[in-house]
Amino acid sequence: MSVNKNKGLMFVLPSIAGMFLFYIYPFARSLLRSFSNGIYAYSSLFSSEAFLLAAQNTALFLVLGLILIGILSLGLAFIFQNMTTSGVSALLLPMLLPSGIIVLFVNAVTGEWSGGVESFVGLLGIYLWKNTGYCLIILLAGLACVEKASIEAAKLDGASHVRIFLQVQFPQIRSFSCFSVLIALTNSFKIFRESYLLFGDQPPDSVYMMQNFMYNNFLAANDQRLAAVSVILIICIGIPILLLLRYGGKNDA
Amino acid sequence: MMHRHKWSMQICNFVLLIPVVVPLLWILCASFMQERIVPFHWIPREFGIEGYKEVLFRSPRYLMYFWNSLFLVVPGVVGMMIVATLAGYGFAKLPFPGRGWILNIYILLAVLPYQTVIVPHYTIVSELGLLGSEWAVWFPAIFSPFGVYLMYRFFQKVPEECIECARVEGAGEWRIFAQIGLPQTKSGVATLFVLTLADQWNMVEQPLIFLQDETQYPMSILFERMNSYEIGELLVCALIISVPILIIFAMSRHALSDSMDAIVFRKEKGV
Repeated sequence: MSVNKNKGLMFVLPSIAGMFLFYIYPFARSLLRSFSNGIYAYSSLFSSEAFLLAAQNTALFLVLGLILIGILSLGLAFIFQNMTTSGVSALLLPMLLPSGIIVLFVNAVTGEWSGGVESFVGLLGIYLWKNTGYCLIILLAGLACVEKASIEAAKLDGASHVRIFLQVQFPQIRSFSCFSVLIALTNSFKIFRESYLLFGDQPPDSVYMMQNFMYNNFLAANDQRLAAVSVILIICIGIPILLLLRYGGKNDA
Repeated sequence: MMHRHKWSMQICNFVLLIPVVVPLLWILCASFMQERIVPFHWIPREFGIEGYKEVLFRSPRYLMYFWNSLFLVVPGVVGMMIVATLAGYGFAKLPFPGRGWILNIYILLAVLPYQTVIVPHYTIVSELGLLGSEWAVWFPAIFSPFGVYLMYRFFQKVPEECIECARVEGAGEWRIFAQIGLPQTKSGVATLFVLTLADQWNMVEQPLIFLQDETQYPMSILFERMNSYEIGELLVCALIISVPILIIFAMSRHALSDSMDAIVFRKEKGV
């Protein structure tokens, strides 16, 4: 009915207008601006030591972080798979609590962090603390949806718990696992908050990441360079995200 | 069927919750410590409430930061809830041409990390002349695509029959939204509210980039200056800043558990 179509547009109009004004249009402008000197903005990035350091650290942090959180949350999901839901929502707390809490706590327990491996590992630890709970909740929700019949059948065949988990349950929670990875990926950039609280503008080299690079360029008002970095970041993160969204659509029956 | 003993369930709960609770608990204990906090310990050697007195009664600046947090966060979140529930309902229940690919754009934008969009935000905000004003923080929050997509998923679960019935009986679409749609997505609304509020409450990037005056900063950034503030006062601030989150979390636990299932981006028939 055309009446409904028009009403539908009215409901979504504020959102779409805002989206266009604050996301689409500025991003298109950024894209154009990054090319205003040809590809100089991009090529100069790749010869910038700071950029390369940031890219390397960020990639390392992402890869290690995702692997660790995957192992941890899957392992915990396997162990606690029959947990009732009443206690589970508290696992969200680390993600919800302000960064000040974990930053002050960590500072007290381990003292000031010097540069090098200690800081990197420390940030990884904070990242795991913050996000494992949420991933675990999602995986537990998925495990609750697995068909009991398939588990029973595997038990009758004499499969061990671990095998059942890996070969029967895990394939059936694919969309939950993918969503979990998606969230872990997006939230990995939020580590900037804790990093800034701990190290300020000038973090040690080992934890100098893309977010720091962007912030420092922002302070120096390098608009064109910032635009180029944004574009690169969107492409580099966007592709895995698109893959996850595509691949993670369905669960195997 | 496996027998699950009540007590083993409780122990499991307890074990999982230890890492969650310990930092908060320690901060609580440490806020009463008057001695210098070296080495790390739990029981205050000198018990005192100097920190509380300073933060709550003597120095006005901590309360100013707390008020800034409220001021910067609440309007943005409230605005976002309005825009997102309206749009979510529209996308879910009132199909229009192009809905599909617009939604795909929303999904993509919703999961992109904040750093990827902060530069576009900055360019439009400075172009609109809003730099340094609270609107620079509010606007991007209000139009966040994550909220829209989440509400779309929750509204999808509202049965078509209810809506059709109401339409047949001549109810206007706004009425259907308010009296059928919203009540049926209560847990979704609560979940979106909690998640967004917690994230915004903890904002660090936005004040650094969009605000120019330190007196506008929210409390979340305070902890960067660990050396320029008394540690006792910082500990109390950490507690103060956590209290609203804890309260809201406690009030919405059921809603959060209920809606975890819907949050996952699954392709269902008819999406």
